[in-house]
Amino acid sequence: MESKNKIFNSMLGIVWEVSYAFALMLAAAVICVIVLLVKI
Amino acid sequence: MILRPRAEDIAIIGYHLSKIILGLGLTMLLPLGCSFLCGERGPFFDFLITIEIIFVSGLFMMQVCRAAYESGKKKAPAYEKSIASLDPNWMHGMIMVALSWLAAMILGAIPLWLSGHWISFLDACFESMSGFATTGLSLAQDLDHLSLTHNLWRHLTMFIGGQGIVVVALSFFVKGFSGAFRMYVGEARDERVLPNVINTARFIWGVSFTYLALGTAALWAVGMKNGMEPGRALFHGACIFMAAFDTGGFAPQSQNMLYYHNYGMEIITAVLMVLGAINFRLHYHLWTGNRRELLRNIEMRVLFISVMITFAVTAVGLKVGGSAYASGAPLLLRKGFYQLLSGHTGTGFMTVCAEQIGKEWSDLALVGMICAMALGGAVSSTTGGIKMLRIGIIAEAFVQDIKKVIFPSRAMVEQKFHHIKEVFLEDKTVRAALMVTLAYIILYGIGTLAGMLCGFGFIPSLFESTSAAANVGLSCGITSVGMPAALKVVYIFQMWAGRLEFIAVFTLAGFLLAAIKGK
Repeated sequence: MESKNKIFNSMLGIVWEVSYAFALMLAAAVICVIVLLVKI
Repeated sequence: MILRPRAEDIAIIGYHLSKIILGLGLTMLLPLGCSFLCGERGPFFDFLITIEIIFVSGLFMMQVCRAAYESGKKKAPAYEKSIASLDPNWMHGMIMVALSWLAAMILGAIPLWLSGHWISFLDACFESMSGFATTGLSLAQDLDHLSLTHNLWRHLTMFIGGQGIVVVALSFFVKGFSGAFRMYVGEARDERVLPNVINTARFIWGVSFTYLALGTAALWAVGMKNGMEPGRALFHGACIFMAAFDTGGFAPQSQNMLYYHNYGMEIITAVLMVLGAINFRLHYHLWTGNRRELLRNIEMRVLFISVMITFAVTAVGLKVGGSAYASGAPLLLRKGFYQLLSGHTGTGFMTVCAEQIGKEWSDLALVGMICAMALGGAVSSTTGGIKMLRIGIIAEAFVQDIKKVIFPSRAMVEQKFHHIKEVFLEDKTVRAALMVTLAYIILYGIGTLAGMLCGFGFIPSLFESTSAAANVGLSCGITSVGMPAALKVVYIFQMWAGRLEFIAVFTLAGFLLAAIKGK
């Protein structure tokens, strides 16, 4: 049971870490749109 | 008065260094096995010769150091213990680490040089140090026709160096070594994940192997979907994973990531680069259920803000400079952001040509990239550069000083930051962060000066110097076989000093000075 919990926690940890990377990409996409829309 | 090091000090350092060298020799059995399986005869002998050299020199050094120590023990009864059971002190540990990396560079360069794809032994040493320090600058000739075995070794150096050469030795080849923590710190890993440093080293490998399996499988699947043969897709997947997660930046093909020109590959490598830039201690807390730490941790917050600010500068720079990459959001994301993220995490993967960065990107875009490269990722990760924790600490110190000015003089101003736990900001913490930051800035400056002395412009010199010292690997075209040998040596020094974060390097310099001037 304990080892199952460990594996489950590790998998959730991986999901969180990958989500952070995707959040970075999403925020960068927003910056892309803003920079391209603003006439510099 | 400086005291000259004793012969026993040198014997202790040499003895433990020989163990690490032998450990490095054992890792070469992997490419040797690969050459045997792939039927690559030439590379098989390249690695066999190197392994022989390593074992002969390592065992010889071990015996000489043991004999020197034993003869010293007879003269001075203070040395009661045998050399094998003696704990190295801080000085020994630091010097061992600094020398281990230099030894790894020279020994790791031998099979590369024997392959004939590197014009000189200096070029092979440059490649080897670039690999171990997870930089990614390459001087290989005709990389597209390099054998699988040598290519595997290039990427394996990144996997070994990313975790730390000493961590490799501690995890697999050394048992019950109580001087381990001193060497662990010497490799710029000042944070222990677990109370026992050997268990910490093993946890680091646990994370790395888990992601190795997941990342390689994902890249393998994308490679096959992209039309590659299964065996080739697996090899490329494993190599690209090692370079991405260890924020290295080598690729099996000379065009780097541009060779694949594939959205899937770019997204997976972008995720892997970010994972590589995360503190191993944070990995541990996230994997054991403390998931809120990701949002609260100062490093992750600073990384997010820093990536966004430097990307905004780079994006504006590309648009102002009239770059074709600023013609649409997908292109800006794919070329601009990918390069930025690659630079910030210290990876060095490129989806554009090096010459394009040097010639087509505006100065503002390059400055954005340089700032990103200089800052780096998290401490105790595989990245280089100043690191997010130090930037966060310096920022918090600024806030504290401003508060002291604004608040009444009798008010107690105490600043806290969250890094795994709540930490009170102390002057010694700020001092340490500022010292390392200053050392990095000086290191970036040394390379820039060297580049300018060799006739390159200020911005390209600064770009390439920062890339080398922060172990990034992006190039704007300066790094090439034709660059002056002196500049190659400067970049090798930068990669080495930048990866070890100075303390081990300064200790070695002090030791050599004491050996010359000491009494």
